[in-house]
Amino acid sequence: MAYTSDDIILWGKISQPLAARDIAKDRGTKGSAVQKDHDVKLYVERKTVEWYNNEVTQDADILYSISNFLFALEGIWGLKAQFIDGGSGGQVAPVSPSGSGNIPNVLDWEIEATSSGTSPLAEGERTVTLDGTGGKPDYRGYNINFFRNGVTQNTTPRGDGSTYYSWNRTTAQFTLFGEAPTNGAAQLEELFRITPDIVGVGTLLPNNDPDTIFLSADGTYSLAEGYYIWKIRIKPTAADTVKIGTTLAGDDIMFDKLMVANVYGNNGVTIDVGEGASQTIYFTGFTATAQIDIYILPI
Amino acid sequence: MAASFSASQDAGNIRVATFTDTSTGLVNVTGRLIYLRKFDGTYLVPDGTLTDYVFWPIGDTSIDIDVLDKDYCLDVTVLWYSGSSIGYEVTNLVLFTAYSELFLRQLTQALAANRTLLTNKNYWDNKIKLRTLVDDAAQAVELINDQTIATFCLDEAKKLTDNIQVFFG
Repeated sequence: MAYTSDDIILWGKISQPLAARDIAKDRGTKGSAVQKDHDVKLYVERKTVEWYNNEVTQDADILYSISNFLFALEGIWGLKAQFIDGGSGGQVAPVSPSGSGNIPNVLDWEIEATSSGTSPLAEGERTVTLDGTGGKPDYRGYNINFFRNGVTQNTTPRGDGSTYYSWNRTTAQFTLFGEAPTNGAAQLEELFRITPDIVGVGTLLPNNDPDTIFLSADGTYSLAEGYYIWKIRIKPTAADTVKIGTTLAGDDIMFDKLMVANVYGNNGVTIDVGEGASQTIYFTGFTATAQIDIYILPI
Repeated sequence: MAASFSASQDAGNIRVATFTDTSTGLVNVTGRLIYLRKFDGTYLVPDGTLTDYVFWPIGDTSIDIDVLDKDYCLDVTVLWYSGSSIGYEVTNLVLFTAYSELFLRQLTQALAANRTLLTNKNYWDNKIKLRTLVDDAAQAVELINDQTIATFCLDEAKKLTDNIQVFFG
């Protein structure tokens, strides 16, 4: 549903004080193109659109153009304004992620020596695909929240030895990370809880969100069944020489390449890897933490 | 029973000021005149008009006067007369700012088409100044009914709109 100029003008009115507050507190504006007088600009542009919107004689194309520009200028504050406004301007219909449309059950289990559908990770394991197979719940299309021994886990590594995880909403692949020697693997008698984020339910579509992993030594990535990799981007913290292959220490995906530290630059590779079956991708040569963004699409 | 009128201007033709008679219950009215007095005491009239006023036929609810060559703050007086005597008289301070507003809209159109202007300090400084002047003119009328201040603001605004290359380039 397209937004109307009336909607955008209303959100502009609400956005202005929200922007002023965030700018005053330097919140959410660092490193962005937002300038200190953004709230004033919002006012100026909103008044202009408001004036033209109230005129009897209008050019619809012009009104559309300047309204859209105002909406772009409202940015994140415009989205907040929609919530404050009660979402009258646009609505997202809830989408059942897959299967019956029912919200899948929460997973809550204690790590044991063996795994099952309701306790999908066993001692020593680091990865599982929660796609509805093998009696597991189908979390595809959901964001998730993961709690380990009662502690909320993040997808961001702190580099201090604490554990973290990755989640691919498209393939439903869940992976644990941490420092050696266990690398975050599940330990006997740990309590795990994974909950689908029903607030964040969206459509199950191919997207450009990468599957991100972090490696500080040789490591692997498990490409899920039915998907292929089309790009790998690497942001290392050291100038390592790295190669990527489909076999241990292989280089059939990327020959030895000297990394440039702390940037993505040309460290990665654009490829076409994956024939449908699940596959292990081997990364060789890392000596320090590197962020690896793996872009996959359904075959 | 009350004599009153309203004024408007539209983006379709910003040269035209439209006045509408909103009176109720007037009696014995046989004619109507409208005066558009500028800040300097002179009167704004269409080309070729020899009087200070414009005749507004009593049978017409509204009248379009093609007279606005720029933004104005006008002291508008409407007289309703009966024979040779004035029956009713109403004076309102009226602001016409469509020239500045249209200019602001055109600036926004340019910005929407050329986002590099987003970081052009000269553009923004003067656009904000122009908006402020138009707002100040409106407040001068609404809050203190002051034609002098409103006219000053509009004149300053015109200096900006007349020099687009200097102030918005």
